[in-house]
Amino acid sequence: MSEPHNVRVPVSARIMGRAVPASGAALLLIYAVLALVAPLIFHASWISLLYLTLYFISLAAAWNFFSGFSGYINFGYVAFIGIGMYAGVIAYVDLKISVIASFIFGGFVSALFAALIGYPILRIRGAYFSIAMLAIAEGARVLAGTEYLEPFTRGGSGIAVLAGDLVLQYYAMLALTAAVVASSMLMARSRFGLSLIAVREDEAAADGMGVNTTIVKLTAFIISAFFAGTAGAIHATFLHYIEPFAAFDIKYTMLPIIMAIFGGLGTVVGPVIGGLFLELVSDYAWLHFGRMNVTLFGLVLMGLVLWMPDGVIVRLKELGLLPKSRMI
Amino acid sequence: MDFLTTYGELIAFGIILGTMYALVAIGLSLIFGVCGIVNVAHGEFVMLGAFTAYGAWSFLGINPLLTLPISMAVLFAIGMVIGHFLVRSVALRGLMPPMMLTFGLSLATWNTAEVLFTPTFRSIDYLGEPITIGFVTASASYFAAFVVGLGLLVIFFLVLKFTAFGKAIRAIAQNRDLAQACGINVKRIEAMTFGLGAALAGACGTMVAMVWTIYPQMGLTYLSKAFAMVVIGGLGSLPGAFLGAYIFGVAESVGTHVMTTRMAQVLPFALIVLILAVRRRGLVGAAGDE
Repeated sequence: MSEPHNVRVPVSARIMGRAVPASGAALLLIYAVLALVAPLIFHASWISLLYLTLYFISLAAAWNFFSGFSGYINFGYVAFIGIGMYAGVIAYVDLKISVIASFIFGGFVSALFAALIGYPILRIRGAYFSIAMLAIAEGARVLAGTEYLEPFTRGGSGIAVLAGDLVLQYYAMLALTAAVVASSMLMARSRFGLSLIAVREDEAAADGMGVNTTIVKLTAFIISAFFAGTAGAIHATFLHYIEPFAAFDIKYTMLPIIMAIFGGLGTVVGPVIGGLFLELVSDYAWLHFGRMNVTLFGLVLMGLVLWMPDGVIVRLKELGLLPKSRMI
Repeated sequence: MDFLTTYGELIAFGIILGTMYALVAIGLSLIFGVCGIVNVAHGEFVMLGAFTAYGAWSFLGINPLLTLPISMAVLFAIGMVIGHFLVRSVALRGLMPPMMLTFGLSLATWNTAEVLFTPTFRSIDYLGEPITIGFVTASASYFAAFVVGLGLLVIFFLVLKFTAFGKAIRAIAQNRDLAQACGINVKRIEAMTFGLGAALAGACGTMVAMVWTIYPQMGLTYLSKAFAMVVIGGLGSLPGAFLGAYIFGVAESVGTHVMTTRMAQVLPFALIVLILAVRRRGLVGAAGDE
């Protein structure tokens, strides 16, 4: 995070530093218009790929919202997604609420879950936190299949859901992605975001400086869970069918983490770049490597940890190709 | 009378389970205590041990009990190579980087195994007939696993207590810098510790192949169970891991009887979360949290 003050900034960096905000805004506008009209222009198979890309971008950005900024590495992220999926689908199928409402309902149930577990869980630090979250996610998956929850979840036989069409799912996911990225951007430059970064750098010191670390961590945890739950509820309608193994699939924990690390932990644009690039790679890997795609991702994760632990965005900032702003 | 025999049998059965689990939990805890690495790929060592034993039995026709030294030797070599690489890589300082790296390794390993071996459930057909010892009736393979597991644990603690290798391991766990200053080749011992942990996990895998069924994705189950045990005892504490394994084995055995089978699978996860929620560093709480 810290940057040396006595280093002369290269000319190219100064020019880029001024040019990026303007060109960035222009690019953003072009992409926004393209994303909005995409369903009118492109074939459904392309919209499907675009939808999946947005899904993973929003998941990576929502994971990063809590873990990237606070340094609490959440290995049980899929719990939020799976709970959002089940809540949304059950609300739509059994309670007969509208599709859009079921998306938001999924997010709220997931956020409620995070609020309930947050206080005890966020007291745990380091490796113990990651292990506890992994246990929560696996426990949630097993629990969803037990006879105690069977009246709601239908156990292993799963629930079929026919709601909305691809265009609706696409626009819903687009709106969610925009919301997650915008919140990350606002958070990164706010007092709240700075408090969260302070917790990551040195929690005891942050506490000593008057940051209410419990509230800060808990808030970010709940917001992250809300976005993940909403994404899950939307994705459940895309899948048309959920059962415990599909809803609590460990790949929904692993892919967002890899994407966020690839782009850059604790940056705003990093998870977007990571989600975009790696979803396209994964689509390619799925086509060409088939069943070996998890292996490929495992190897990519290992390579990232070894050779690019800070991610693309941080590297670009160091090279002077991006301005050193917390908003990026 | 019924009540007592039922629970007596369940607890005795839990002790058999605990002996097998202890092999995994002690390795995981040892690697954390000595190398400071949370090995997320530890479950894969169990899987690889199980498949080595299965391969030696089904293709080479070796007696299942004799496959044990083979799978332990193979896993010791694999573990040592991984450990050698992990402890020497400058990029892998701190807690999270090795955790992420071993997570990637775990994914790559089980997926490759799934493609190579297919996801079928397999088991070594050996000592399947039920026998009764005292008030416990079970397949003979359970008793074999118990005796072998207990033997290995005793050997492990003797090695740790009395050999130069064991003393070096304990020295590093207590004070890494001082151990190095005293002329111990810290990185070599750390790599060997990784091998030792992997070999113990491989031994458990061999017995799992005899007693239950094996499949490429089995690692995660054993990893999460081992995490529960280690967390009961506190990461890095060997007596803690040993105690945790037996507490867990008995809890699982009794839990399966009291609750439904599917509900009992929630147990390890519930235990981890409950214990950590009450005590942030495990019940015994030996090692630091950062």
